Amino acid sequence: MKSIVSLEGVSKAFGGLKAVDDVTCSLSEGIVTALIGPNGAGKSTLINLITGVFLPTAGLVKLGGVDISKLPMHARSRMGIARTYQTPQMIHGLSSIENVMAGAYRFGSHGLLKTIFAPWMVAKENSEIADRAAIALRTSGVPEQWWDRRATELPYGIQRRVEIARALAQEPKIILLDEPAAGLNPAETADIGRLLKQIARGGISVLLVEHDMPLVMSTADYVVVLNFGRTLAMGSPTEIAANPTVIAAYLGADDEDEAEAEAEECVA
Amino acid sequence: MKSANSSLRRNFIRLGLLVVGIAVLDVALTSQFYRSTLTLSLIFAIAAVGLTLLMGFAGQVSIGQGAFFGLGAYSAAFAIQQLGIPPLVGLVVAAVVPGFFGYLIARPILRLSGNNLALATLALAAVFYVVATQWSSVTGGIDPGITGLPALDYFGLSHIHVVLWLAGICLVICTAVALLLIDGRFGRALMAIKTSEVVASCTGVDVARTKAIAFAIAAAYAGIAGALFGYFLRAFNATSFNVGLSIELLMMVIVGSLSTVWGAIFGALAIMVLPNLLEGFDHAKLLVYGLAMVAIMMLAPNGLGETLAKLVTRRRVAE
Repeated sequence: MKSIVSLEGVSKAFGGLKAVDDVTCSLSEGIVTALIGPNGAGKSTLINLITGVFLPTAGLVKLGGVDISKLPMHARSRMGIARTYQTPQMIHGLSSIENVMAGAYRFGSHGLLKTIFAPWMVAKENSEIADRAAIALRTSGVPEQWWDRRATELPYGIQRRVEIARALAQEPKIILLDEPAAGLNPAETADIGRLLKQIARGGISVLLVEHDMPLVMSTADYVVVLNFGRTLAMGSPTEIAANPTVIAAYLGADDEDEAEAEAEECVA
Repeated sequence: MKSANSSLRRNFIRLGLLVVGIAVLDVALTSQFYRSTLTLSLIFAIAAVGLTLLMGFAGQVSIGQGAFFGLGAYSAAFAIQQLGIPPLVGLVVAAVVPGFFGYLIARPILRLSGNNLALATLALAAVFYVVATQWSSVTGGIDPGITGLPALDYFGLSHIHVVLWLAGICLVICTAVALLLIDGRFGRALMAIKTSEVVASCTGVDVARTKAIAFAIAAAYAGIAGALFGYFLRAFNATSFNVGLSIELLMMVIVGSLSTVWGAIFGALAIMVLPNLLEGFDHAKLLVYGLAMVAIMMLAPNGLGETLAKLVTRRRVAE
C-alpha cells in the first residue's frame, strides 16, 4: 500500500508537556486509518501537526515522500491535505454549496487583477467551481434541497456532511476527520462510516480520529492507538481489540474482563 | 450556479438604479448646498465600500482609513501640481499610492487582531495627521495646505456637476469591482478568514496575503475618495484628515451593514445627509455619533441598514 502521509519520530512539546512524543506511523492510500486514545492522548495535536497548525519540535512530517514539516498550512492544503473539525466550521454568510466552493479554492485562479481586467471571467469560474462543489455534495450525500440554504442554519448532521464535501472539493490526497460522529445519532453515525469507507475506496487516505468505538471498529482498516502522546499499538481493528495493553489503557484497567468483552462485542 | 449568478444580476440592476438615482438627483436638486452634500456622500461611499470589504467580509477592523483618504488626496494633488499629471490619471495615482502603502503596512499590522488591530490602525490615523501637519514642503501643513487645484469644467459643465458625476462613476466602478470580488473565490476566502483563519488556511487560502490584499483594496478605495474630496474642494489642509474622519468612515459601515456593500452606500448617505438636515447639530455631533454607535452595536450588530431592510422584508412576508 502506498503511504500518503508518514510521520517520522514526530514530537511536539508545549513547555515541559510532551503532547506528542516520538510518533512514527504511516497513513496509506485507499484505507481508513483510525486514531484512537483517551482524552489528552495527543490525537488533536497530531492532526494539527499534519495540517500545520503546529510545527513539530522534532521529527519529520512527509506527504508523498516530501518533507512538509516546515510548510505553512495553506501550502500543505494546496498539496492535498484536507480536514474537518470537531464542531462543524461552516463559513458564515455562505450557502452550503458556496461553503463547498470555498473548499475548491485552489482550483480557481481568480484574484484582484483578473476581477478588474477580466470581470466576465468571475461568473464562468464560479460555475466551474460550482460544478465541482455539486459533485462533492452528491458524493457526501447532502440532499439538493439544502444546497442553497445558509450553511450555519442547517441541521448538525447535514453540516458534518457539508464539511466532508468541502474537504472532498479540495480533491485531497488525505482527509483528516476530527470526531465526525460527535453529536450524531447511531443511524447517522453508521452513514458517516459508510461514506468514509467509500471515500477511501476512491483512492484517498482517510484519517479518522474518533471516540465512538463501534464506528472505529466497523470503519477502520488500520488502527493507531495513542496514549500520553506515544503510540501504544498499531494494527487491524481485531488485533487492537484483542491487545491487552490497549484494553488496559483505553478501556480501563480495573475491569479488564468486562472491557475485553465489550471490545469483542464491538468487533462483532 | 443559478443562485449565485442571479444575485450577481440583481446587484448589477441595483448598480443601474444607482446611476439613475444620481442622474435624477443631479437634475432635481436645485440648491447648490444639497448638490454638495450628495457629492460628498458619493465620495465617502467609495471609502465606505472599501472598508466594508475589509471589515464586513474579512472581519478586520480599521479605524485608520482617514490616513489613506488623506494620502490619496495629497498624492493626487502632488501628481497634478508637481508632476503635471491630468486629474483623471491623478485618480489612478490616488488609488495606487495608498494601495501600495496599505499592502506594505498590512503585513505586520494584520498580525494583530481584535482590539489590538483597532488600536494599531487608530495610531496609524493619528500618526498620519501629525505627518500631514508637519511635512509642509509637500502637504503645505495646516496653513496654507494645498490650494489652487484646477476647476474641472469639462464638456462645458460646471465644476460641481463634473465632480458629482466623477464621484458617481467612481462609486459605480468601485462597487462593481467589490461585488465581483465578493462573488468570486477572493470573497469566499475573505468570509472564510472572518469565520476562522484555520479553516481558511486549511482550504488553501494564504491568510496573511489575502488579508493584506483586502487592506490594500480598502486603502485604495479610501485614496480614490480622498482624491475626489480634494478635487471637489480645490483646496484643503491636514485638519480634514484627523482621527475624526477615520471614525466617521467607520460609522458609515456600522450604520449601513457589515455584510453587504449596499449598506456602506446607505451608511455614507445617512452620515452625510442627516447632520446637514438637522441644523445646529454640529456641536453635539460627536455625542450623538457615539450614542448612536453604541446603540447600533447593541441593537443591530449587523448594521442599521441591514436590520431595517430585514424588518421591512419580514413585515412584507408576514402580510
